[in-house]
Amino acid sequence: MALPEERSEVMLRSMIHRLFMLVVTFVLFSLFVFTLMRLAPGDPASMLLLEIGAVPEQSIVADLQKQWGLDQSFIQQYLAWANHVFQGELGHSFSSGEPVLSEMIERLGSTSKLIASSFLLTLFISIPIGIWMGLNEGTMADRVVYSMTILGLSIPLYWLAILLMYALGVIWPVLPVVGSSTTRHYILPVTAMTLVQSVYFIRMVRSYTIQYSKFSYIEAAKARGLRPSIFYPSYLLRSMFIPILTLITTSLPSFFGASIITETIFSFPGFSKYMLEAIFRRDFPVIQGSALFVAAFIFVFNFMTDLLYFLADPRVHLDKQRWEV
Amino acid sequence: MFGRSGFGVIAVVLLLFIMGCSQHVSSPSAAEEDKNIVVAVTQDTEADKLDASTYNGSRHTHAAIYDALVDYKGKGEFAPSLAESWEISDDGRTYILHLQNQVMFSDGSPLNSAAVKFSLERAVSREENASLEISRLLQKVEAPDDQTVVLSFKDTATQVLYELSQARPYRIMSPNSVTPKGDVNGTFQKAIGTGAWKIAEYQPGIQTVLIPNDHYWLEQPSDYSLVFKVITDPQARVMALQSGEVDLAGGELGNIPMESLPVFQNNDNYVIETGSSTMSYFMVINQHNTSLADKNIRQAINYGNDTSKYAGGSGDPVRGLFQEKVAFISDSNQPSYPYNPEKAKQLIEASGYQWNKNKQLYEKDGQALQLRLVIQSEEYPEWKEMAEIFQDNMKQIGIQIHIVNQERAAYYDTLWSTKEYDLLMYRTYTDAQLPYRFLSSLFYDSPSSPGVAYQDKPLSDLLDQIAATVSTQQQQELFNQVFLRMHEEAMSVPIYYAKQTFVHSSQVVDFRFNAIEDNPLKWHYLKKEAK
Repeated sequence: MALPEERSEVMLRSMIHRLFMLVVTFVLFSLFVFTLMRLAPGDPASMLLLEIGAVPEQSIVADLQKQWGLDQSFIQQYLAWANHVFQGELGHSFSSGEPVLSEMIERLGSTSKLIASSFLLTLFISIPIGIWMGLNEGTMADRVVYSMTILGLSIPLYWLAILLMYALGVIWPVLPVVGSSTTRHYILPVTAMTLVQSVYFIRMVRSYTIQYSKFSYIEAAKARGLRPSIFYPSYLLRSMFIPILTLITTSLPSFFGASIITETIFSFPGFSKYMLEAIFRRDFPVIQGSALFVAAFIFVFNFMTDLLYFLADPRVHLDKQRWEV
Repeated sequence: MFGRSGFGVIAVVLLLFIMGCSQHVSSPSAAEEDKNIVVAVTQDTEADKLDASTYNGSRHTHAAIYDALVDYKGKGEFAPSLAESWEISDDGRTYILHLQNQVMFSDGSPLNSAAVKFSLERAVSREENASLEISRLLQKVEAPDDQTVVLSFKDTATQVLYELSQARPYRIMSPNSVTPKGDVNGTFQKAIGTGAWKIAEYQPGIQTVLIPNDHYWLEQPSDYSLVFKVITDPQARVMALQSGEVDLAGGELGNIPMESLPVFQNNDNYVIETGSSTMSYFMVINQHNTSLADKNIRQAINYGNDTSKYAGGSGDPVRGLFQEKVAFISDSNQPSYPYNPEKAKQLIEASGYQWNKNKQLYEKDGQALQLRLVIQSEEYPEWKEMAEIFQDNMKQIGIQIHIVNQERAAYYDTLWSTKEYDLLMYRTYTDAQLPYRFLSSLFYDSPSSPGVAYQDKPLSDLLDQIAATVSTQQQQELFNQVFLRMHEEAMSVPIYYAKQTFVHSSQVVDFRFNAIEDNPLKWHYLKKEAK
């Protein structure tokens, strides 16, 4: 369906505005990460020397700092790094000497599989269960599942992961507990992440269902005796699309966070573990490059969500002011 | 919305999926699996960058691939390795090494003086090795014939054998490891050594497969492959041992938490092996703290420290900073402070502190005797419990301890740069780095480089004299004075003598410890019995 001319114009202007804001946010974010790393205790040169078993003697530390440009002023360091970023380079890792970008790409495969699998599974599990609970609010089944979600919310991912490893790797040894070389290596980590994330999703979807099913147009549709195959997708789900989309968007960073813990426990040589180890080592180029990548991903995802909002909700189009500010 | 049948279908699919997976678990052929000994390690081997002259990768992989010219036997003694004998000039400036005959690198090329010259010159050319004595003092390496190497130093060099025996950076690598071949500044291509193993497969961050070096010269090569599997989380290592995914874990390679050891005790499927170590845990003292500048207080802390309580009382009695296995240490030359809380209190009172009955601690001018103890528990999880025991020990003698557990990078920054601690838990180095290398790194004080762990001119003068002394007997006399000085001044607080603990499946047999912790096990002896 073609968009009306006025609507397209509003959308175009608002998108340009958002893109501009995105660039500004991006610059501010990079500056924030850059500053934070410089303020954090721990010197990368000393850390590298200690990591390799050498003594961080002052002269060697000074030589390394000079080699990495850490002897320059903060502004000089930031501008040099930003200049590289604009040229599509993220610099070289202090510890390995390899280009950060290629190291990141190498590790992104397993992480994206991990996040995508648990993300899709979470949606697949939690949306139907959440809706079902919402529609059966107050029943015994709803109360039981709701109590289970409260329990689930209080279980830390780390603990759940260890529990799954113990149950399915040690007591009933059907799955491998560490590594990422085959598909079956993904089952336990994906399950752990999915379970932890699903609990939150289920509760939210349940509450949306309860809230939206009380709206008059939903009740009217129900009263008209519409078949479930029309009622659920065309009325209930459609009206809940925006809050669910918001839920998905806002939960994405938590999937990244969960992947850091998951990759560490299950010994996944993925991007999140790479980023965490870089933080411990104070490997500035890797930290900055990784943070920039994650931020870019989330920003682009949010931007696309805005587009979907625009297309999905006519009120967004009608509320010109909201989009033109 | 979902009927019972819907859930039933999902349940069946999941069950089938898991059952399918269980078939996959046992899929590698039994014969293939039995030929692999899988070891859990925390650090990636970085096998693609395992240049013998660098610190890349893990120490144990260096030691598995590359041999040293001399082997450290412990207690300051050395055994022949690639060098079958050596002579040292009286002034300690010339070392003549005679190489073994018929030794070959894993690629079949011969070990000769040219390869040794190449390896040493390559290591010396690297900036990160600049602080080592060989790199600082080496003038030239000569190869008068195929089996002889002559090292000439600018000044008296007393640490040469110690440094040559270390896992890196002076082990011997084939000139074919770099391109152009034999170029000291050439680009590293492949790890080629004379050690018992060679690299067959490397998956970064996942695992490294080492296979026996058919040309191994010292003993019979192994019949097995050695797989170093990276597992960073300690609990995951325990699970991997229990699930049978790894056969062996422990030591510095990938420690098993003390609290998890009961899982493997009294279990026929596992064997716990405990070996000695040369490492000690101790407290670094910040002498710039007003209280700790007072020798009485430093001595009081030592007297009040009941070392028998650490590690559930399993540790050896602590007698001084260094274990008895360390070179130049004897049972009589390292005095220690016996546990004596009454004596500790007397010393504190002698320094003008008064007992505050209400607060149950000592005070001076209204100020409580309290100290900030910095630790880290990422690398040494047991330090947390030890710090708490120490805190309790100090409470008994009226000193209040505030424990600050820092993240690893912040902790090292505190030790090496900011010095924002009163006491800091640390550990000694190991093997051939003890005692001289360790003392000169942490206790040597000069105007350009203040001592890291303590600043004491008489001690630094003694270390200078040791560096210029070739005679072992004279060195011993000087070390006796060093240990006495450190004791009298109470420059540190010894806590615990570390041990090496490994756990392996009972299928793995012929487990033997090596003489040095850098290469903790005789890997090529390990075998696997059928279940």
